[in-house]
Amino acid sequence: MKFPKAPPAEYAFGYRSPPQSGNEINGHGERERRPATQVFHNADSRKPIAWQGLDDFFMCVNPWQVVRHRLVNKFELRGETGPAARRRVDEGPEDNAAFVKSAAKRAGASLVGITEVRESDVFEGREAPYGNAVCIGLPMRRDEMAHAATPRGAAEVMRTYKRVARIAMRVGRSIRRRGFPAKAYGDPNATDILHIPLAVRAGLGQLGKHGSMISREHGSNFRLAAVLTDMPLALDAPEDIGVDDVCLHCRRCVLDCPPDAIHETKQWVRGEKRWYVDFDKCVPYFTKTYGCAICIEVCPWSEPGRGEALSERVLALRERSGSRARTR
Amino acid sequence: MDETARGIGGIAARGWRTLVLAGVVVRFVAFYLTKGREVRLRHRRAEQTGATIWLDHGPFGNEAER
Repeated sequence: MKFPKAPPAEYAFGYRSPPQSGNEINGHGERERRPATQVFHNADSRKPIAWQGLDDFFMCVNPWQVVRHRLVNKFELRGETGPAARRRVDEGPEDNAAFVKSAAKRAGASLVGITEVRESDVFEGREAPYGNAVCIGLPMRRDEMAHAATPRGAAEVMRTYKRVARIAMRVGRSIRRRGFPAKAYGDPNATDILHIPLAVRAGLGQLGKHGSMISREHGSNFRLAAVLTDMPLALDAPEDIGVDDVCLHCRRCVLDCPPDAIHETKQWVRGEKRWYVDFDKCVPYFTKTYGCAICIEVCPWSEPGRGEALSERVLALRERSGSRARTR
Repeated sequence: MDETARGIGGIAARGWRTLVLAGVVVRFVAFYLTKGREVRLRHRRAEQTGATIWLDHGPFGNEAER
């Protein structure tokens, strides 16, 4: 797929005295475990974050074709929770999980997985109301995402967030009809929970070099939402689809990232060695280009139909060489 | 206000949330068309002239500087 030429990483905005580095806030280089702190996309307007100026600027420069989806999404999220039915229908974790997954698929979800919510999945100072998470993924239109880093690509991102949030709300309603509480999380801005670690543990895919998730079905060309509930559910296991094997050798996102923000090797972040994107380099470009998304679209996994074959090939190669997933 | 409650309390809480969100959306549209537009225009001018909008005190009200 051909992508338009990316704008240069030069900015008509900046800080005279930059705030605390987003990498420091994110815990880059830290070997101790601690909860994540919000850096960008402030979910609580009463408490400004360190990068509030850039966050406000981002909100202003986005064109109407992007903003309108966000506003509809915001208003629709009034249905994120509601009362649970009086009569509880509990068919046991396995059948409950099958019911929830079928409800999600019927509502239009492409990827569904279930995991438990851990302390590390919740932003500092926030709370998760329930213990289980149903993670939902929905692909973006590839022809629209070929216009990544332009308002057209950004509009597709927000349209997909709006649609995946609707699916999450429908799943939440189905759960509540069975007498269990449920809350949908479909806000593209950071809220209470970290969607990626939850979705990785729910078996939707793995973290890629570009700091986004990679699934076998859609590569990185999808968006996430979640439903938190107390319904007893059989949990899914994380799945190794061979992302690390590919990312260790592939440099496509690194080379195509205009602000040069993607690390070549895994980094220590809050007590875990993982792929990491330099916040201070990425976010100004993200702001300039209405949400960028170049790295996730150039990723070889995102090419339609390629993920399955790629995964099969690298897993077969690994088995032949008798090695386990390699990490650096 | 508990939106998960059944009965009148829950209905009132959900109605209140709908009103609050409608208010947030209307306020944002007004903001986007006024202050937001100003920032977008200033940004466009700054990109053309090579000036910089300094965000230390937020994007509002400060002129771009060369």
